[in-house]
Order: sequence, then structure tokens, then C-alpha cells
Amino acid sequence: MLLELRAVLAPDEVAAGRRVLDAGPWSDGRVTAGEQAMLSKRNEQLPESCDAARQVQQLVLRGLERNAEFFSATLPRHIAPPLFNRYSGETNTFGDHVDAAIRFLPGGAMRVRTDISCTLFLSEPDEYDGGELVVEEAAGITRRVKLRAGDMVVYPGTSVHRVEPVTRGARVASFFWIQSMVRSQERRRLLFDMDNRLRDLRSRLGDADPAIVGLTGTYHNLLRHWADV
Amino acid sequence: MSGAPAPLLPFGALMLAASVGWAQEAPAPAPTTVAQVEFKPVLVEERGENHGKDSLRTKKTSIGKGTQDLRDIPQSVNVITEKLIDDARLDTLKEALHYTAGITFSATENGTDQDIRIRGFPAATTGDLLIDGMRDPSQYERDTFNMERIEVMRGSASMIFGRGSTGGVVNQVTKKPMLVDQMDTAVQAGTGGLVRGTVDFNKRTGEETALRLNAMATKAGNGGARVERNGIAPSYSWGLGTRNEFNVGLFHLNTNNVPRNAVGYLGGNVAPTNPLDFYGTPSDSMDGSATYASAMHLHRFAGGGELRTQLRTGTFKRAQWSSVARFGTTLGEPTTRGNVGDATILTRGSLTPRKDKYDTTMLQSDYSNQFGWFGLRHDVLAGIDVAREEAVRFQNASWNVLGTRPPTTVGTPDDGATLTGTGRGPLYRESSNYKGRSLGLYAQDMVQLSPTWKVVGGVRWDRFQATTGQLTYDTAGALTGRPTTEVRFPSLWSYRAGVLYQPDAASSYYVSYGTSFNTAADTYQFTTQQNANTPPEKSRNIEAGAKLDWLDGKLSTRAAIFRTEKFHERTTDADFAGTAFTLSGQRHSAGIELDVVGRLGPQWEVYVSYSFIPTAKIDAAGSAANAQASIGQRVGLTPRHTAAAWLGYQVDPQWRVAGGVHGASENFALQGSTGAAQRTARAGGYASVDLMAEYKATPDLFVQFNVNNVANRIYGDQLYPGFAIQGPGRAATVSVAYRY
Repeated sequence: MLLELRAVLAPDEVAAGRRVLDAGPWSDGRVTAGEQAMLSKRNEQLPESCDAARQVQQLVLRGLERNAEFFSATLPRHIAPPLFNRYSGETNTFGDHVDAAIRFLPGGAMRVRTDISCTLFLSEPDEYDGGELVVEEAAGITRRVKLRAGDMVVYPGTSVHRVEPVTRGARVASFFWIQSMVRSQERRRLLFDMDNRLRDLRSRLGDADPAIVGLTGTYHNLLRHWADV
Repeated sequence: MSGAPAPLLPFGALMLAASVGWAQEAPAPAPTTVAQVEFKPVLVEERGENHGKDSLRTKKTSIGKGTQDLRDIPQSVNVITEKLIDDARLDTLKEALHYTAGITFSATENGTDQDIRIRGFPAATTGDLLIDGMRDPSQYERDTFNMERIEVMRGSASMIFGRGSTGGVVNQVTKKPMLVDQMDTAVQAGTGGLVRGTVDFNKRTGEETALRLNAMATKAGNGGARVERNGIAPSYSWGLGTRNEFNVGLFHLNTNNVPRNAVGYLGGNVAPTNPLDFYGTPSDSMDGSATYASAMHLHRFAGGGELRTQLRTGTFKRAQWSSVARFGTTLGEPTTRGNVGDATILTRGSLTPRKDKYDTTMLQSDYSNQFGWFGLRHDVLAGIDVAREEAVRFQNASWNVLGTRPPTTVGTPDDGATLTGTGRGPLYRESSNYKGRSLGLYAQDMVQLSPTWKVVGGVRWDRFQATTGQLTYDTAGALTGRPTTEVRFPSLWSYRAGVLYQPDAASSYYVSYGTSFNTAADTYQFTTQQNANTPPEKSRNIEAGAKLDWLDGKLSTRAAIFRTEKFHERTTDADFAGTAFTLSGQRHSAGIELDVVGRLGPQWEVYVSYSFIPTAKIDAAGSAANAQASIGQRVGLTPRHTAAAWLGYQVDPQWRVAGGVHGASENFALQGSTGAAQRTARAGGYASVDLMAEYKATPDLFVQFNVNNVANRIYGDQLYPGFAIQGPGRAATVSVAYRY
């Protein structure tokens, strides 16, 4: 399931984040690539522990925190610290690849299984040409994503994806991974659908309706069944 | 209520958003932490917390064997992290221990980390100091360059550590490889001609392998009390973060110092001479080394249990011979605190030369797991440890007449005097030896009786046997005899019991009882048959305490009220003639300890450690006159108050300032062999202030300025009946550190 979330960050937050990032110490992105991805990765990244990255990380996390749809869709258990990349000039593309299954965090204290990949756009679509995120949803079916600054796309970590070459301007984005409490995509999708339909019903019948109470119980029981906490 | 109804939130969001907590970071130095999302009431864990480079606080400890939350240990524990070590420039273990309350030092043949006291009981340097939970037997000067943190557990804990641990134990946790590329290198220059360089290099060499290398070199002139220390510690891990983790490491530290001289008391108090002045001689020396290899295997069971096995084998040595300066006359008159000055004559005595060498091999295996027996949660901890320990002690050969140290004056420190006479230095020959083996098995269960109540029970069985030998020589130096003593303790039992009440994730209250024992020869000494026939000394600790977290878990406070008593103490009466000594001695200490550590908002970091011991008393003693006279007296080396504090403030992204103070109220040396406080001389109360400022020039480059003992405060740091060694005088250093 590929999901687009609108306005995770407000325009003024995007502007503030960009001010910090644009002044940050960018370097070659191949340092976080796995061996295969290394060959196809041509972009720039911010060192994960630099001050600029840390400041904007907080901004991104605060944006996520108030986004109900994000929680409902991803049921996060661990969120790896958001990273930042930039595609422009010579370092302008990242060919087809799958993200490494496990992301080791600095300090060696923690690992995150990359169930879900996220890209939060920080450049407006008219600031650059090309640069679409191309995600293979199923064999032969691809989705091309290029969103407004502050919007975010969430897609399964299992998909092959790439970033098309940027031929003009710069594409700045935050990307990160989530380990979900519910490992299976299909199950996450079912829970998300159920949650959405229930919300619709609750708005019409109220939370006290016996059927709603029962279905709410079913949602939680399924989650109990499937979730690792 | 008026207005439009608020939009409904999805359940997934309702459930999670409320419990999310993004770990807030300080503006500058802390590492990125994982924002974790969990169901209430589990607090969001702040990852990277155990990465002691970045925090004064830690939530986990390994001092109880295995890895536990501090809140689950029903005893007073204090942890000094690498951050405090770096911030306050605590380059040796001894300096670091000044930042934990309730610890004092005795002065013997000269000040290494010898004879540390915790709560007024000896933490024998040959048994109660540990490296990664295994004994660190010698008395060398321990450098902190390879320490991740220093953990102090107070109170009797033989159930965990076997023999010893009456007042507590000090555990040095070494640095281990991590799955990250990191470099932390620093050079320092300071007053007293100090030059120090340290390297802490960690390289992730593969998906689950990493290499870490720590190295250090230190040199200082100190106006004559020279320091020369260097060390290296490579360590390699594979299988990191997987089911089976392995680590192998080597460690070598070498010290060749001219130690600070002891000074006699003057007018019943510590001498008022400048602590920066050296009155020893260039012939004084304090050499030490530690060389060991270690291997570790950690198996993680599917259900979350762990089996950790460690092996360490190594050699520890030290040799020292130094001076004590005592007050002679001043312009023909007896010296007093009123007339002491540059013309005051100091006579110099020689302290007994000491040399020893320890070879130890230890194997220790600790298992921890959770079970759901009988419908209750059980946290089980069990293990075995085996040790082979050998010690050889040396003394100066009787026919080697040592030269004497000529007198000097207060006005001429570091006069470079050469010894009078022929013997320029000790000629060491073996005087006694020790070969011992010990085996211990222990098990502890912590049962969760209800969501808020836990009970802990543990028991340990030890077997300890040793052969101690003495060598006797005639005046010509020929060996005339090798009497030996067999020490056998086939079965020794230790216990711990406790109740924990944990009403929520932020608070834990406990009551606990623990025992410890000390056998004859437990510190590798030659012992007489009488002593070997004597049952072990026994101690117990009863304690109640609270460990509370505040400000969303960013600040921890710990308080304990304790009574530690040695209720069977050996009494070696002069008029005694039997096959074994009696255990009629008794002493106890009682008091409170407080620790506060953590963050007070994003810019402030705080660390406080305080101990108040109103009672430390000899309750019963042997029949000898001096022992009888000591009954009712306060125990020596146990000030009523000891405290340390450190406060850091991040001024802006570039500047951080911090300051600390450590001190104690009035302190007394031990009086002879009884352990009572001597009444003829004292060491007045003191507070020594340390200051630090750090400037972050670039994200990776730091410049740090330190001034320790800002006021050049004179205080008695290590006390002995006839003399004291003053605490170090004012020292300023500047360090440049590169970290990425």
C-alpha cells in the first residue's frame, strides 16, 4: 500500500527546515547505501548526527506526532531517526534498489527493521525537473510520486524503487524507515481500512452504538493478535 | 460545549499518539535517539542513554551480573559515566571515585588506589574492585581511558560477588566495540607539565562486526611528583546484535611514577604545605602494570534470555618506594602552625618498599531469563564463576641496607636530593606467596507478585581454598624455610532478600537484606594457621530506599537509608593462645545516601552524590587493652558527610560550561590496628571546586578548559596515623578533542 499524506509539515515549517538544511554540511550519499545500492546511488546526504540534521529531525517528528492518519496506517513501533538527502547537479539520481532490511542506528544500541519506507518532500515540485520517486507496487505496476513540499509518501520497504535523475534545480527530502508493530503489509492494510471505515461509522452513529463497540473490540482484538510490542 | 464537534481520530492514532514520546535532545552533544512508540504505560526508552559519552545518567547497569534496570536492584548504586569522566578530567579511577559519596582513602606505603573505604568498611583493592565484574587484584594506578563507566554498589553483596564486598564494590566497565564509525581523539596540555593524549577509535568492519581501539599516553612533571602512564586496549566483536555475540580484547597499562610524598601532621591537622610542592626524592618510585586478555560470548535466547560467558587471564604488578616528610625545627624552635615557613626543616623518612605480582584467570558465566512459572513473572539470574589466583609479594632483602633520605626545608621543594648510603633502591626478593582457587554458584529470582510488587531472593554457595607460603632468610640472604598454611573453606553461603514496590514506571521503593563474608587470606595475603582455622568474618546490610524518575524520566533521584554491620569480626588479641582466633568483634555504620542525576530541561545537566553517616561505631572488640579501649569509638576514615556535585549548562550551541565540587567533613585516620578513629590528629573538612568550559569550534572539534581544585585547597586526601597525603593542588588543562 502506497499512501500519500498531505501537509505533514506546514509551509512555514518547511521554510524553516529548508533554511537549516540548505546551510548544512552535505556529503556523498553512498555512506549509508548497502553494497548493491552503492553502485546506483548518486546523491548527497547530511551526516546523521550533525546539528542541522538533528534540528530538522525534531521538526519532522513533531509533524508526524500530530498526524493521525500516519499512525493509523503505519502502527509504528520504532521510527529510525529521519535522514536528509539532496539530488542536484552531478549527484542527481538513485537507480532501482530495495532498502536494506535492517537499519542499524548509531551507537549500535538499536536496530530497526525497515517495514515501511517514508519520503517527506521538502522542495516544491516546480523547484526542480525530474526527481520523481518511482515505486514498483507489484510486478510491472509502478507509481510515480512527486509531491508538494511538506507532503509525505509512505510505502512498503519491500518495494523496488528509484529516484529519477534531477535535470534542473535541487530536490531536498527527508527519508526514514519505520518498524511497524504489525509486520505484514496485508494485515496493516486491513487494520487501516477498518479503522477508516469505523471512523466514518462513528461520526454517524456515535461511539456508544453497540455495533460500533463490538467492531471497535474486533479492531483491538485483531491488533492484539497481530501486533508485536 | 459549543462549536463544531472535533474530528474523530482513528483508533490507531488514539492509541499511539497519546503514548508517543520523542526523545528531546540537548541542543548540542547528545546522540540521535530513536523516537520510540509504545503502548502506555511503558515509558518511551531513550536509546543511546547507555552511551555514557553523552549523558551523566544511565538507566541500565551490569553491576548486578547480567544487565538490569537500576530500579530493579534493591541496593544503593551510583554510576559515573564517561561523560562525567571527560567533563571533570577524571583521568584515574581514584580521581573519579572522589565524585561518588561515601568513599574515602587510606594512605599506606603510598597512594595508589589502595585501601578504599565505602561506608567505613574497607573495599579491599584486592577483591572489591572489579573489571567487568571480575576481580582487579593489584594496587596500580588505574587510568580511566578504557572505561565506559564506573559503577559503585554499596552494601554487602557476597550473593553476587563472592568473598569480600562488606562496604560494597566498584566495577569498572570497559569500552566495547559498537556498530558505528566513531573517532574520539583528544590531546591535553596543562600545568605541572601535563601532556596527555587519548584515542578512542571505533570502526564498524562489517554488517555485524566492529573493532574498537583505545590508547592513552600521559606525562606530567608536577614539580617532581612525576607521572608517566601509557596504555592500549584493542577489542574486536563479531555477531553484534545477533543471537551469538563474541568479543576478544587485550589490555595493557603501564605506569612509572614518582609518587607524591606523604607529610606528617602539624598541630593535630593536615600540614599547611602547598599541595603543589613535592618533598620526596627522585629515587621515589611507584610502578605498576596490568596486562590481560579477555574473551566474551553472549548468547541471546529467543524468549529474551541471555547467557553471558567471560574469560579473563592476566598479570597485575606494582612496586613502590616513597617518602614521608615530617616537621623538624624552625630556626631552632619546635615547628608550629604559627611559625612554619620556608626555613622549617623537614626530615624525610622512607616508607617500606612494596612489590607484588598477581596472576589471575577467571571464568564467569551468567544466565538471565524471564519465566512465567505458576502464572507469575520470574526474572531469574544464575551463574557460576571459577577463579585461579596467584600472588607473590616481595620485600627488600635484609642485607641490602637502603640509603636514607636527607632532610630538606619547606622553602626548597623538589631539591633533587640523592640518597645517603649505598643502597640506592630496594633489592626485592620473594617474601610470601599465595595460590588459590575458588568456585561460586549463585541463583536469584525476582518474582512479580502483582503489577506493583516484586520480591527478590538470592543465594550463593562458594568454595574457597588456598595455600599461602612464607619465605624466611638468614642474614646472609640464604633461604632457610618455606612454611605454608592451607586455607580451606569448603562451603560458604551468602544471601540476599528484598521487596520492591513499583507503583508506576517512574518509581521504585525497596527494602533489602544482604550478607557478605571475608575469609582468611581473602586478599591474597600470607596467613597463619590460627587465622586459617578461624571461620570467615560475616557482615550484613539492611537497607530501604527509593529510586524515582522525574520530568518524563530525564531526571533520576535515588535515596537509601542503610545499616551495614560486621557482626563477626576477627579479633587478634596479643594474649591469645589457641588454634583459632575468635570472632568477637563487631562494628556497624548507619546513614543515608542520596543521588540526583539527569537533565533539568534541555540546557542543564546535574549530578549529585551525597552520603551522611552519623553512626560508624566499634561495638565489640577483643580483650587486648587497645581493642577494649576502642569500644564505642567512631570508626576511622568515615567522615559524617561526603558529597560531590556536578552541574553543566549549555550556554549556546557552541559553549557549554560546567562546575563541580567534592568534599567531606572532618576525617580521621585509623588508630593502630583497631580501626577506631585516631584522636591525635585530624583532617579538617574541605570542599574542592572544579570548573570546566567547552567550546565547540566545528561540529567535530571541541576545545575544553578545566581548572581542578580552583582554590588550591589543602586537604587530607589519604590518611594514616602518622601522616597524610594531600589532595592534588590546583591544575589547569586545555584539551582539544576531535570527535565524529
